[in-house]
Amino acid sequence: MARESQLRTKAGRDDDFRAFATARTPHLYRTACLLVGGDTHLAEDLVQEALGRIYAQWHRTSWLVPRERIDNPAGYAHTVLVRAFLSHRSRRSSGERPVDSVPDSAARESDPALRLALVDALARLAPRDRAVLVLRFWEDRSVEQTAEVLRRSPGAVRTQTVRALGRIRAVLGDDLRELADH
Amino acid sequence: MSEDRELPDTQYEQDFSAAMARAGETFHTETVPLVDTAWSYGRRLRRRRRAAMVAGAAALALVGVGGVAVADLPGGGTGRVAAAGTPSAGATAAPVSGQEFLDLFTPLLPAGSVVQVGEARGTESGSPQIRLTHDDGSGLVQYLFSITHGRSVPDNGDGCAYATAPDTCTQSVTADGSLVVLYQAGTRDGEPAGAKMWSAKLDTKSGYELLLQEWNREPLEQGAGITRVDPPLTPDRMAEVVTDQRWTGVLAAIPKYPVVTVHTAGSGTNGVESWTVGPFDPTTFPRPWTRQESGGASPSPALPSPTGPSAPKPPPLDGPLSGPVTLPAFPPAGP
Repeated sequence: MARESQLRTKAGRDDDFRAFATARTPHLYRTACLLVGGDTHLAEDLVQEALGRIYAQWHRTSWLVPRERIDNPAGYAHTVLVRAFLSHRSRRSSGERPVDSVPDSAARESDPALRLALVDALARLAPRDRAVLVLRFWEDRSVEQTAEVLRRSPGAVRTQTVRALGRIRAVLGDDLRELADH
Repeated sequence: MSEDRELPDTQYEQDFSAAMARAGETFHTETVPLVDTAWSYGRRLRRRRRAAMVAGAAALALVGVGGVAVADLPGGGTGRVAAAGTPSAGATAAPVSGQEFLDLFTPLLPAGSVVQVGEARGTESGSPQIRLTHDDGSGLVQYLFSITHGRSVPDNGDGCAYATAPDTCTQSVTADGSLVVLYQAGTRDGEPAGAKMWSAKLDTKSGYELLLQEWNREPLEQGAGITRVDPPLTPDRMAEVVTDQRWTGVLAAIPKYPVVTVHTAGSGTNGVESWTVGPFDPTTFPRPWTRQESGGASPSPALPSPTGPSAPKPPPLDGPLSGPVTLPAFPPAGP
């Protein structure tokens, strides 16, 4: 029966979404933690918001709207996350978390000096500077890909990358390897 | 900033990239509650969009046919999308509302009063949850109690596998094979001095997770200080709460997967069409969650293969993030 077949398909898509979200959440969360400068509660908010938005598009089929397909869900998820971060800041004040924090049972870092210093330094940067550094050096995205996510020109991204690195270098110092060894 | 900083410094970029990798990999969280809430949020988003879309289409159609812009739809001229849970799809009891869930929970707290209820979600959501602030006279406490369908026990069955000093973690197995994990976490980065979070988690043999958390502060306020030295419920007491028999009825009321009846504009009676989404095959949902954190390496998901005749091929999960990214409109068209 057509309706039953349709429902089975929806079930499969929901299963796929949950499998995808479960697999990607750890990395999305780490990205979010770096973006927000170590605020783990806000990082959880962002991950939930990004995944929720992706779910809303996950099986967006309708007779009104042509089907849209997310060709690279993993990459797209991180794009949504970064854009959610940049848009989140302006409306953060009134927002209540969709869910409260969950146990951070494995949050004890193995490299505390590096993590503290780096996260603190990131927190001092402007959001767009943080976003460009996270995309380029944590996500390992190219200048062009970063430009697409941030909706800026590649030239602007190059300039912003150099300047943001300069700012973080002024905080962290020249020898990051020495910092990591502390 | 000196002039040479305007030029790329390849060595510094490499070092910074390595530092980001090392720092980023130290962040870990529990995956299941995040995914669960994201899923619920995504469903709400989708329903709102569908409602807006239907309302717009109905108005267009009516204008097109009769030139009269009066939409004879439920909800006073706008499309309405109503969702209602029904006790099926494996549920053996009537739904438990958020208020009923709250009424079951609060008697288990110490004597005192509930100051604020942040959230009280019933079984129709598929993941009942309570978040509240309580005052027992010794300082405000934040509680979070949730029941989710799905276990978060690592494959090796060690519920304390991710505990690190100075946190303390103990676990025990109940007579029916369920796992109780008691966790006492100390202050995290960015939290006020003396902040503590204690939790008790019951992973039932039948595949549910009951998680109770308490804070000696109000965690919604990042900058707020602690309100007391310790949270009030001892780990043993928390274990008693999550293993209380009263939750049996709540578990029975949780659909294996939420069943949602959607009413919207359509060709049915009075212009309203209804259909039901779900139930879904309980053998394929929830998946046996596999914790992905492995302490350093990039996540390399070992997901179970979908079963069942209609399960489509999963999307690529662990491919590189580089490569072409096709971007649908963003932000998505909202209401």
